[in-house]
Amino acid sequence: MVPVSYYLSLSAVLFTIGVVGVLVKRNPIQVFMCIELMLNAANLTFIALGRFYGTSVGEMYVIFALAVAAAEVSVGLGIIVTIFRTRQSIDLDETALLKS
Amino acid sequence: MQMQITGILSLLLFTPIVGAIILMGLPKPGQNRENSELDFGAMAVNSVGIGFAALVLVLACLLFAGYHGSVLGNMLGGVGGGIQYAEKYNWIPMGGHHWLHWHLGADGFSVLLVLLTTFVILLSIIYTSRKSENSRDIIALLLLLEAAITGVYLALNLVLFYVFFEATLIPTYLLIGMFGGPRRAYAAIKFFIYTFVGSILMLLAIASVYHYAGSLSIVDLSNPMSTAYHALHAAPASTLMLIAGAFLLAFTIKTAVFPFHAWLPDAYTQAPAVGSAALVLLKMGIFGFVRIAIPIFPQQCITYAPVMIVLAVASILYGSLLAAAQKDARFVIAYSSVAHLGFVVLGIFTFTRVGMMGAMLQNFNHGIFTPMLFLGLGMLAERTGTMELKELGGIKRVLPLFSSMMLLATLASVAAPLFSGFVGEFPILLGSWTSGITHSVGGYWPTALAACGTILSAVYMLWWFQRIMLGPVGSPRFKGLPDLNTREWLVLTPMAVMIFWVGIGSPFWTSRMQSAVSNVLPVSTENVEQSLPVSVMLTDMRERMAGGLLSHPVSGFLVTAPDYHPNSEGNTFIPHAPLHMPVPVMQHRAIPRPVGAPPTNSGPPQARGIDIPPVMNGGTGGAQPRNQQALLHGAPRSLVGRSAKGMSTVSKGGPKTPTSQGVRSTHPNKNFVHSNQGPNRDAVSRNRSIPAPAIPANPNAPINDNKMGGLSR
Amino acid sequence: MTNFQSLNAILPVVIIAITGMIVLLGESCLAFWRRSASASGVVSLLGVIVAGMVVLFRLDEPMLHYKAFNGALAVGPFTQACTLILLLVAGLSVLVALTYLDNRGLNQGEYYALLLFATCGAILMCAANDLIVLFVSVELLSVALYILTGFAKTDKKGQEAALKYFLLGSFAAGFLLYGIALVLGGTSISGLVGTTNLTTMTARIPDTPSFMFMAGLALVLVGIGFKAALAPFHMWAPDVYEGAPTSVTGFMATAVKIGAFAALLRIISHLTGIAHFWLPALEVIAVLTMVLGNLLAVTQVNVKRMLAYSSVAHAGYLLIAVCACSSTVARPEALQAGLFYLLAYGLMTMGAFAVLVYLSSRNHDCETVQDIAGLVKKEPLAAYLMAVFMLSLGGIPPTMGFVGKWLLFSVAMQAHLVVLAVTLAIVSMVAVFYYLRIIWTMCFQDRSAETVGATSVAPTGVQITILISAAMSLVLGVLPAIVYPMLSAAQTLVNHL
Repeated sequence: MVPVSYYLSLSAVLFTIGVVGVLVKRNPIQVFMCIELMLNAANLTFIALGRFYGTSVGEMYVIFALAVAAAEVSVGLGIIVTIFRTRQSIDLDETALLKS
Repeated sequence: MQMQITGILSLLLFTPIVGAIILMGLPKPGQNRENSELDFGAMAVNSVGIGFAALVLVLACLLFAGYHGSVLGNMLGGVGGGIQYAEKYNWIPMGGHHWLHWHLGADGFSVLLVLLTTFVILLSIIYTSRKSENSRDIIALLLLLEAAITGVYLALNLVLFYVFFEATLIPTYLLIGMFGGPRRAYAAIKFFIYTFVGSILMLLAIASVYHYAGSLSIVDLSNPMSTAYHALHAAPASTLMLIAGAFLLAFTIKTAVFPFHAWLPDAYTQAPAVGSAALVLLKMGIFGFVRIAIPIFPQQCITYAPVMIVLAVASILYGSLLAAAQKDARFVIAYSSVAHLGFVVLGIFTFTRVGMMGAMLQNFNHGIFTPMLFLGLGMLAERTGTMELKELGGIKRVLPLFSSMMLLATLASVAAPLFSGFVGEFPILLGSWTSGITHSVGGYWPTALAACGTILSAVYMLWWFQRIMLGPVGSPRFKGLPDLNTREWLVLTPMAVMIFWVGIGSPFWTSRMQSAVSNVLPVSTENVEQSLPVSVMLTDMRERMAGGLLSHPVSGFLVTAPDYHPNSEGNTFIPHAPLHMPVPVMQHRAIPRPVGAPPTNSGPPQARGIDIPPVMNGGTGGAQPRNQQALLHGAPRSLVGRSAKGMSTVSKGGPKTPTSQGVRSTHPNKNFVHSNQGPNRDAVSRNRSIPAPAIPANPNAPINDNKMGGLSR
Repeated sequence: MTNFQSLNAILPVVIIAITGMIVLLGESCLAFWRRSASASGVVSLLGVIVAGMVVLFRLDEPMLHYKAFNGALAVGPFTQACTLILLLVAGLSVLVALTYLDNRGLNQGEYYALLLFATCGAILMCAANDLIVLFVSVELLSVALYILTGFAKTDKKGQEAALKYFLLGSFAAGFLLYGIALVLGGTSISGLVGTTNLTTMTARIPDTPSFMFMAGLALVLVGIGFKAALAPFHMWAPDVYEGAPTSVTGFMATAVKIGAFAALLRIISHLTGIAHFWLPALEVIAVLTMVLGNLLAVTQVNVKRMLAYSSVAHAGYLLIAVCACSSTVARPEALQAGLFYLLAYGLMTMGAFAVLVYLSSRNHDCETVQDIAGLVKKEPLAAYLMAVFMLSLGGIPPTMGFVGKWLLFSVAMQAHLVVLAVTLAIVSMVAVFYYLRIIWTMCFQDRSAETVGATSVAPTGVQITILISAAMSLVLGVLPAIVYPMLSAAQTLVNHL
């Protein structure tokens, strides 16, 4: 048996990679991919915990998370496409119309 | 005249608001109408405005007339003793079934100030009702302001007080900012932020009070025998000083005392004329001192009192000197306001009854002659178009009647005798002279400097009058200016009448404040310097009255009934008690001490407070029990006569006796009599050759005949 | 509860969802609906009103004291009270949108459908008794709002706002989900799998919970803090509020905060056993939020941005009520103060944005301070009512903003949170400056060339909104006892209902 702590540390590492990626990347598609990475790290944690205790509770949570992530993807990509249509560029650092 | 209208206080509050709402529904008065056309819009606005203001004034008069501050009410300590017409409803739910109450009540101070507010607002509305396109908005704002100010004077719950305190800011802000002079926006925001800063600290202090005491009722918090009071004063001393300091700071800023006065000149001068009159009505700071700060935090206020006295004297001098240096007529009056309010604050923080009564009366006076001056200046500005002193001059020749009215207000401001300012300032100075606190600050210097302030007020006011009214006419275009028209007479005359009424017949006005003064300054907190001959004289007067002279005719300037609110140890606060009472000079008068009077004059004289002999012509105020009328006539003789009867004096009191007996038996401080039978008793007996009475009459029975005809001295 | 009973328990949400679907389908399928300018709006308003009636008539049903869906949703009095507030806010948003969408040429039924779905999400946030339900409802609310923010497809600022909101919102959702996963791990005891159900969690937390649990809780708070625009997660708020269409901003500023803080109050009231862990952190966040929100608002010339920063500041004030839940003595008052402040804040912010909508016309969105200069000459009623909203936001009597502020002060002192109370006092002094500046510009300055007038399109809806908000601001300031039954509902949360 793989100890559950291995899974948990893997998901922690994935989560951290995702967070760093969101903060660093300039292309919104890449940023979104890193966000998906964070969500999947959480999914991995759910599954690992559920499996460790022998219940299917973890998988249930994952179903919720997957459905929500899918909805979010569709909306997010739609927004990105809209911007691309009017601007021909989706570089995040160029979106600077709103300044504090 | 006993008149009970239940809910009169809420009626007083909501009538102006209803009037303002109705007014805002009316169309704006037309602009530039021809004189031949009747401006129905203006007529409607004016009649609604004046009608509501007059209605509120009538209600305030009814309240004033129906209020009877009975000294017997002093049994309940603190503010609650004098409250009448109370109303109490659940208002804000505070969780856990606690409620903040909508608690209104009228005190001696309240009725006077409510009357002042409604009076001045009515006159201001009459003044605004001339042809003016903004009159609808101005009158509506004045009515809202009146409601808010009246609410401050009537609120008996700290949060309700705060709500009204802040609610006055909004109409004032809009009045100054929308209808004021060239720098109005700056003046308005400065005024708002200055006072708001103090108030938000006060809100924090109120929350702290609620936390420690569990109650926000001013009646409970000022009653030294209530659980709320004890709970509050069980808090750590430094916290209490902070809380009291926050309250004092808020009120100090509101009153524009010396370091925090910067908002006042701008606000007063940039406001329209009626706005300045309305601003003068912002006496909530002074009221806050006597209604909240001193009753709820007496010891802390005594600790802060030296600071306040210094600030007050600084205000007087600073205001006076700056007023003398101004070049704009309105600025002179604005700074004079700083000086006058400095006097009032001085009077309050002397912690003597003389001083406080004088302060509250001067407060009232200031609220009459300063609006008169501002409205007069407004009339002048309309005619001449300038307020620069170097451009004005010789107005007396052009507008003789107007200048006579202004002279009345000027003399009132200068505190000339026969005018109202005198009956306010003199007791303040006397209180400051006899106060232990002023002495601890700098001996006789504070009083001396304050008295110099009176001289300076003559300097700047008379000079102001001279520069405006006397001398050569300032400009040729002043030649044909019209004198006062009917509306302006209607505005100025009542104020002139009040100036004389207060100046000559002040007991009518002070009679209702007496129980309030004694509630705010019970004997335990009064602080009179004992080494002064005048104090001794007052003490002796007081003892003679305390010696069972039921009909002692001391006129109604001050409460003469001793009362006492023992602190938790059961004894009274004695600041400078001498071990041996120096033999008073007055003892060797011919009037013997009546038999039956216990030798209480040897006890700590401060315990009974100080009264001055009737300075004013004795008047009557309030209802007098009939049985005392018969005893009044020919007072000195009856004094002598009764004393000859010996022991029968005590029992003879007639219908009075049951009352005094009843009072004595319910009196909380039974041991007071015994505390006076100390080592000094023999000295007194030796001096007076009066046998000790078998039944000592309760020397401290409240004598509620303090409104008798004056003892002619 | 059976499934049917559970559905019955959340009938208002079901009604709103069905209304949303009806609007969506009707607009796309029925020609007459598409042609009519206000059919969608009217139908959605009807749905909101019906849902509100359902809530009001069922306030005392005993069924509602149980948890629905096997403990996942709490439908007790607290939820009913929050539902009422949210339905009120949603109704006002629909009214505002009836006017605004025509101005911007955005009159599409999807707007109302999304608005209704977002309301469903917010209501479910208030009812969530399980963290995963919280996650789903947060996402429901957020996704609908991402679309709404970018609804004006050709507006560059709007698109940018939508992108920013989407990216940062999903980022926070990731934190939230991972936090829930860690909580699941951290609440497992003695061989039993963990739980994310708040009720079960309360029983399982030891006095010193495991590191996993604390980490998970921290991440959950980060996620919720983002939604509520607490510092230091507030960076998105000004940009998004400014870029979104004004009617959407009104909804965002109110409903999202109400949902987020209701959820936060519920979570915190379950975690009072470990208050010594989260209280310092929340206190720091509260102080930071209040200070940053107010200081940054002072320099703004764009009214929408200024209102965004003021929303941030008000979130800080609400956090005081949340922090005060830590003290046993003050907890009922804290919950009550929080609920009242949510109601007050929702109404006054919605009113302020409604005035901005009222002043927007076809070509020009009313946004900057120049747009409203000297307004009192042309539109005196709008100017005075905006003044009422500004005074209410500033906490100046006699408005309900003051009553809310007083309740916060008293609750803070009772819970011995002196630092928070003093901070509240100090920032109130700063805040009054920028609120007064709006009144100053409107009433004291002269009209400039750019000052707008009222919108030319039928303004009935937005006028009704403004009047309702202003009337409630003043009435509740004078007679807060009117909503006392609702407030006493808040205290039931003490018993975890």
